Formats: sequence, structure tokens, C-alpha cells
Amino acid sequence: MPRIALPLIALVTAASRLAAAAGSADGAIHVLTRDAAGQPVSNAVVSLTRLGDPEAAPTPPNDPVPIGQRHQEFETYVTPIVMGTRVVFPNQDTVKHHVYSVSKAKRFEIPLYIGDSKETVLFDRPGVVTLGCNIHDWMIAYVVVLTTSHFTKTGADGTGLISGLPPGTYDLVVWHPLMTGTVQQQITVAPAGDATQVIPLSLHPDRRVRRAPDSGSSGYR
Amino acid sequence: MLPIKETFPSATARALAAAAAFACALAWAPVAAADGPYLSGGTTVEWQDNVTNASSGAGILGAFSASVTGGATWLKTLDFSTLLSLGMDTGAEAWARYDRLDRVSAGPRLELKHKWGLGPFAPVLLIDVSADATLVGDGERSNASGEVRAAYSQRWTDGLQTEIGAALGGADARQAVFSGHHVAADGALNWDVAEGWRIKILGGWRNGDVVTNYRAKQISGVWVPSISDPSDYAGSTLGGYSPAYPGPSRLVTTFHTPFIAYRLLGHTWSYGLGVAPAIGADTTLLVQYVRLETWSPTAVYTNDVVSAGVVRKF
Repeated sequence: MPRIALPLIALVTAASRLAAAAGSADGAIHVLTRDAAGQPVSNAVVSLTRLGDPEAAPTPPNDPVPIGQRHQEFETYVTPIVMGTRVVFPNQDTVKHHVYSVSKAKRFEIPLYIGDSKETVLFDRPGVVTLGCNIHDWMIAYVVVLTTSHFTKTGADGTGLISGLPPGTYDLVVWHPLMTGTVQQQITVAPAGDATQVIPLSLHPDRRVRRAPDSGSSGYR
Repeated sequence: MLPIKETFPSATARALAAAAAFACALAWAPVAAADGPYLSGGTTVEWQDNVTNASSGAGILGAFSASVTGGATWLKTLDFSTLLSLGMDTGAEAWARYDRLDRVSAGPRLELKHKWGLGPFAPVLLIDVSADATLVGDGERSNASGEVRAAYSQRWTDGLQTEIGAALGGADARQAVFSGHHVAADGALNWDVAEGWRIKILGGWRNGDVVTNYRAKQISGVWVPSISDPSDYAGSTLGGYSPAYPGPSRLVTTFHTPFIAYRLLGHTWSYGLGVAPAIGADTTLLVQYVRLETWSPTAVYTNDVVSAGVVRKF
């Protein structure tokens, strides 16, 4: 992840493929992110919403999505989910955590616990939810609640894949914890062929609450 | 015969040290079921340009010291926003030139931390009770000490935090000249100027017993401060064991030549600057400068302290 604010170039390749078995006209999009220095950017959420002929609301999964805590950090920094998904917060640490959020999309707090939490949290409004721990101020993570099932999160190599896209025109939105402004663009997915989209993003520096211990100050001698 | 003036050992110092130890012991039962122990350790090298706390002249001596500290902490969450921690700290310090200042100590620490609200920007109240005892050290200076401190901490942005505190403490040594009590106030500003880089700005005030040392010489069997020029010393009541001087004093050989140690009542202003880069998530380096200026009716002195060290939590 880049440490300084530099323009980020997201290279989006639209490649339509036919599924070999069924002859489906569904397409797929490969997402490739790079910063101005050419380095990959992880944890960028890219979502596609079809325009003109909207699809039915996505069905959330039956099982809750886990966001664990280990070594006094959230195990997953960014978690994209569809609206209506339940999330569970297992604590695999040796200390208790007090997970909370004051974001508009979801306000909640889970009282101090250790081990598997019995409580699941329903994310029923779209938007970005910022998670924290009230005991360990440096812990931070994000849940991105989406109204479309067509999304991906870029990995450490800066790539992601959105497949099963019916042909049509889509609204492409990119979100990243460090991005400034918004990135929103229309793209067309054809039954065959491919297209490449280059989308610049700009990031602010990654500044978090310091975790390293504070040393004592000098006093009277 | 060397006349020695000693006052009754500080009752306040005894009471504070005992209260601190009792509070820590009382807290042991509920904390015994707590999370931990969490271990931490550190080492520091330090230079003081006025170890003797002398006012001026040949009595001012500088020295290097090195110290190693270790601690174990147990945590217990009392409610959503209140954390109780009990710790045991140990330390060893060695002096390059004055080995009678070498010391090994240990003591308990109890802290109550309450946060008003959620998130890193909620204000925090801290109450600390600590005690410390010399396990190995100079017989005269070895002491038991205790302190109670209350502090308010506030984070203003991801990279800016301030803390102010007030403390009451005391120490009880075998010799009254090294005993005493104090009240103090302190403040710190922590500014994370860049990722992993912190600047610390420190300030403090302390009022209470201090120890200042003067080179001594013997005149007709009586040890007196070796004053080459009366103007070297602020006030004349420190001329030998003058009956006019009310506080305890004692001839010491800590600094290899005879010095007289005096216990005075004074106030100390301190201010300093430090740089603390983080090495990973669990280790901090610190390079720091602090200037101490002490004022009393009979002595005025300064001490510049430069230190470099590392702290790690495991």
C-alpha cells in the first residue's frame, strides 16, 4: 500500500468470454490497480451496477461473514458484502476487544468479549462502515455494504476479477480507504470482445493511531 | 566527631509507600483472573551534567549511567470503558563513575483507566498508584518510595495527543537526608509528524524535598562546604553544619571525594524535547533532552539530561 499521496491508476480490462459449457454471453472484468509509481494497490473495492435494466437485489449469504481479531488487529482490513449480510466478529486474541462503529450505515457495539462472539451484526443499509476497538485505538477496519452482487476486492498484487456479468451498461464505482474524492464511470460489457479502462485514483497518506509503545518521560532526579 | 543532623523520617513518605503497596496488593485478587501477563522491557543510556545537583563551581559533576527495566502487566476490563491493570516493574542502573549510585529496584504498579465515549478521540482519565523499593544499592540512599498520580489524556487527531497529570509522592531512606516527599504536575504533547515518527514535548513542575551536594573540606575537625568564593553559593546558611541551617545533612563519599549532602525544600521546573521513532508495531526508540532547574532559598542549580533508549512490549 502506498505511503504517500500519489495518483493511482486503476487499469480495468473488460474481457467478455463465453462460458464453455453453457455458451453463456456473460462477461468478466479484470481489475488491475497501480499507483503512480507503478506499485499495486490492495483493498480497493470495485463494484458494478447495471443501468437501464436493473437486476434484482442480491441475496445475502446464509452464513455470517467473519471478521476476526488477532494480534490486536482486525484480520481483514476491508470486507465488501451485499446488503442484508450478517457479520460475526470472532476474537482469536489473548485480550478482550470492544468492537464498535459509529458510522451512519451501521452503529453498533459489541461488549467486551474474548473467543467466538455469539452476537452477529446485520448490515442492512448501503455504505461504508468503519470498525474500531475501544480498548486498542489503533485497530481499524472497514465494511463496504453494496446493493449489487458484482464486486471484487483487489489483492496484494492489485488485481481482482468480476465475472458472470450479463451484457449491458454498468456504473463502475471504486472505493479505497485512502482515496480522496470519488471514482464513478460508466462501462459497457459486450457478449464478446474486450475493452480496457484506465481509471486514475488519488490517495492520501496512510496515517493511523500509533501502536508502538510510548516511552516514559524524564522526571525529577 | 562528625555532627550529623537528622530529622524524624518522613511520616508522609512512609504512609504513601505503604498505601501504594497496599492498594496494589488489594487489587491482586480480581486482577488474578485477568488477561496477562504482558511483558515489556527497555534499556537506556543517560548523561547528566550535574549528578551532584550542585549550585556551581567544582561541585558540579557529570556522569553516564545505563539502565535496564522490565515489567509484567495483567489487564482486567471492569466495564465497557474502564480498564484496570496491575504490574510489577524491576530495574537496574549502573553508573560509569560513581558505583555507589548503582541500584536494583522493584515495585508494584496499579492503574485505572477510564475512557469517556467510543473511539480514539474520547478523553481518558488515568489514576496510577506505584511503589518502588531498592533491593540492591548504597546503604544510605536505598529507599522505599511511592507515588499517586492522576492524569487526563486527550487525542485531538490521529497524530496529536496531549496528557496532563498531577502527582503526590514520597521516599523513605535509611538516612533522613535522602528521604522526603513532593507534589508535582506534568504535561506532554505527542506529535506523530510522520508514520512511525513521534516528537515529544515535555514540561513539569515539582515542589518538595531535593538533595544538593557540595564539595567538603575539614576545618578543625568539622566538615564544611569547600567554598572558594562565598558568592559561589546562594546564601550562607550552608556554611558547614551551621546551626542556622535547619534541614538534614550528611557527609558522603559517593562521588569519591568528600561531599556534604543537604536536603532542601525547593521547586523544580523541567522542560524537554524527544524524538521517538517506532520500530515495527511493538518497539520504540527514544532520544530525549530534558533540562531541570531547581530553586530553593539556599541553592539554585540546573541539570541537563540527555538520554537514548529503546522500549519494547512482547
